[in-house]
Amino acid sequence: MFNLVVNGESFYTDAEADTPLLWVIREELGLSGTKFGCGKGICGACSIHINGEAIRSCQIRVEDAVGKTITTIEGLGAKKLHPVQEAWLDLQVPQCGYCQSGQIMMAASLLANNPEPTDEQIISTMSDNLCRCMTYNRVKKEKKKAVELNKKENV
Amino acid sequence: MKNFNRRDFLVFSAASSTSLALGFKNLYSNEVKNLLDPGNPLMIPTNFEPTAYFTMEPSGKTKVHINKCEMGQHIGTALAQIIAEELELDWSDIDIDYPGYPENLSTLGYHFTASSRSVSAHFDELSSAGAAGRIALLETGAELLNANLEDCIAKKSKVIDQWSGNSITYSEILSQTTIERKFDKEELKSIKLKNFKDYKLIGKPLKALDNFSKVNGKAKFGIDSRLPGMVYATIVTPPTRKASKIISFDDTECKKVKGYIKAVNPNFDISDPLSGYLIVIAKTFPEAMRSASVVKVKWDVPEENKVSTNDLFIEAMELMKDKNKGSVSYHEGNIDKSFKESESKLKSEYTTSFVAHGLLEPYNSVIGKFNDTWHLFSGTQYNSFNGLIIGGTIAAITGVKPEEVKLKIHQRLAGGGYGSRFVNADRLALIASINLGIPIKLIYTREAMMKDTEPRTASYHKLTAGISKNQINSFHIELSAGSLVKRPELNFPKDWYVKDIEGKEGLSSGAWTTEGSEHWYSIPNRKLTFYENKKLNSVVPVGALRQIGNGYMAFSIESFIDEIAYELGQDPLDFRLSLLNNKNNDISTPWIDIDNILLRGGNPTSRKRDEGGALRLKNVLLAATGKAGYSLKKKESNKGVGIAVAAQYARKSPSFNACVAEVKVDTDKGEVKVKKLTYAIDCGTVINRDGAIAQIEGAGLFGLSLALYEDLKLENGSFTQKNFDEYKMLRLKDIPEIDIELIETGGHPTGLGEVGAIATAPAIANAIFNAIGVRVKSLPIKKEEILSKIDDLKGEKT
Repeated sequence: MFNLVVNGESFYTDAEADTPLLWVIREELGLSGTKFGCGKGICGACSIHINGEAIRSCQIRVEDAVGKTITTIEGLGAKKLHPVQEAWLDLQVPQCGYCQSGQIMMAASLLANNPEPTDEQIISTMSDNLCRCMTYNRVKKEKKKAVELNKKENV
Repeated sequence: MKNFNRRDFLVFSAASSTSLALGFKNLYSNEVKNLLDPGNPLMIPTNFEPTAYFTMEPSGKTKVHINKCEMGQHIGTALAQIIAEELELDWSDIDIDYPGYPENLSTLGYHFTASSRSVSAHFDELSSAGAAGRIALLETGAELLNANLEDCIAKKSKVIDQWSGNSITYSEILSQTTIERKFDKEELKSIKLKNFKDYKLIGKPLKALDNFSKVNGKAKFGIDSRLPGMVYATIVTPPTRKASKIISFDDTECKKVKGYIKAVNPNFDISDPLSGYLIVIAKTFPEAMRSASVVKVKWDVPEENKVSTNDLFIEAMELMKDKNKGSVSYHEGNIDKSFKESESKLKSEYTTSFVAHGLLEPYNSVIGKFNDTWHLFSGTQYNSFNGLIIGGTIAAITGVKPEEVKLKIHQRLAGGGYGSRFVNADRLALIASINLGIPIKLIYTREAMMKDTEPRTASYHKLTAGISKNQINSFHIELSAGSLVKRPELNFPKDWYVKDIEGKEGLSSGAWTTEGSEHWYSIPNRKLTFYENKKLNSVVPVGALRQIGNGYMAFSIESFIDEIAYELGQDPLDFRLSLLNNKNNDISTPWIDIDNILLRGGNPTSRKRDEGGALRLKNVLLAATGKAGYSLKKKESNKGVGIAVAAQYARKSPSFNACVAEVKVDTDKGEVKVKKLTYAIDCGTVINRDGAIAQIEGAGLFGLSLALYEDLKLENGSFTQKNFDEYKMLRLKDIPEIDIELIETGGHPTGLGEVGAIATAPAIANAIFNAIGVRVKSLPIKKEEILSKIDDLKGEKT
């Protein structure tokens, strides 16, 4: 049995130690906002936050997530939409929406660690995530918007 | 298992209801038992359902029933805008849902989401439906207001008596009274619809109704579905894409995996694209994956299937040596005579590779039987056909009569579609569920997705032009490719074939396969010859991918037009403009009108070319080049500009696209950097401006990804790339600046999902030529081809 704290709540799972955290989150805890894309950490659809850092949940063993603070898309804007989510809606970024949780988790973590990222930092971070609808043009714009909203919120 | 013949169900389905329930239902009150106080029944408020397309609640909330798959195009928002416009509904009252099978089939007709037709095919009916609702509300509202009907107008969910200034809201009308009003077909037809200039909601950049759930993790895709008591399954794919057969499998090692349940050989016929697949089932998905990784399978692998893409191109070249093997789809003028009389001829050959859909949500299916009804959760693009095929498969396996099978499909969102999301995962999950007698959630791994793909066909093109007096007088397109409609196991009705007009026995092309070959350039002698690559069709089940024919035809035609322009010493823009004049433009290839077949129960019809087609193409070309400041004058070395036009041809009224690409080529590395893409697109009437631009942005970059990166490699009869590290797609760091102009002509609205993708590759190829003088002739554009042609150029100079 492993104890996980996800979005501030405590859960137990009897999954094998090497089970990717992704599957416990999605299929056991029912937090299906975190998506399965490639299973190899290439596409970023399964990105979550572990201790505030964006991590590919398909590449983390459940055992290694014990004792860490885990946040999924459901927890990011639970009380109030996160500035990244606000910006995302404002610019109507999603098309099919499947990769968007991962994109948003990546963007939120970048902002948390670096409230005023440069264009190069934005491009480099967000290039880790694949979007087959190719919403990249708006993802790029959205980041700038989110930086502004984030600043406003922190004033 | 009985071999299932899909055609039975296509025919069966075509005979079933296709007409729409237009007419007012009587209002009713449903009595519901109050569990806390059984003597006092609860009342469910009555709903007003003037047509099958939408339901109005007494609160005024209006739910539009979207008989489409939502896969990123925000189709629900667009269709709701059309209804709300004529219904004079306050937009804040709108809501949408996605009805499931079979109810949607009987009330709303066929559910199929393809070819960018959703708006185009339903615009008229939805407009009439909204208007009929408005008329009924106006009549009743006037009565309640004690007003003359002709004094009343409807506005923002209200009926207003202009004489007295009194008003009543739709909600007040619907909670006070019962409306009984029927419109027959004639009356419905006679309703006067709004003019383009009077639209208030249509055209507005309203926010997509489905996007809130897409930013907070709440959106439910097929893969997010659950059923009580379900177990998990995944698949093991065979060594060749088609025709491998399982001889035996050994699951000894699986039995050591915690949670392993069993492996099932569905034993599909070798003609079936699922032949040789093994289903592995376990309690959880990770356990199913672990089990699948250790199961040992022996296959019978047909030697003749072990071919590569290159072998298929060689086959295409062989076919083209014998013109008796070519099916002629159109021939105007006299191409042979004109070639003989030409002063010179220009020839060029092009190829395009296989392309994968690269859906981020892998194929999946959740299915189970509860009481006597099967429940299937699916993000399918074609749920009527899933219903008919899965219903048929249930009947075939269990022996129940097809009409007695009870099956409900719960429509879910699709994490990308692009033409591919259909029935294969459902068939596998169903077989597993029948075998085990419990609900199954089946998910493909990414590796299985890459193997399983039903890709865009690889294609081989030979184009020939005859030139006299510095003018082009003849244009012959020869194409060899696989064809979705000609896939032998699909048994498409024969009237979906495009017959050889010369009447040669047994030759035809399939609907969509040569789409785009009917270009709009006025050239007196024109011909299209299609060489069906049966070898290709026997080794790869080709599918639809964000346009079928146009995906490869626009590349060869627009590249070749560019070659001719340079050959004649003309600016490619001037050259195109001179040919887009609507003269000699009546190509009359039979057009397979799917809307007509499926929605209206009609027959496939011969297409009629829309008036003004070439001129609209000319118009977007002028707009795009103007916007981009197009000029061939070199500003910097190795930088270049290229243009291309493309339209979705096989449409009631096509969308027209012009693209200007600006590139920079690194001549040492052979690498192409696209700096800017400018699009001008005419889709008649725009329904949602922001959604339209989003579609073009996405499709344009999709086209860029196909142009520069995507190369699905076939070797030994199997696709070799295992995951997204090997199958490259565009990422954010490589996107160019994008500029989009929507040209609104106010004509019938057309589609936008695909058109943005098709002109991009040829515009980039043409820009490369302008930059460095190298003509690329293969998609995707490879640095090897560029470097070797740079060497050739150097060789010519020395």
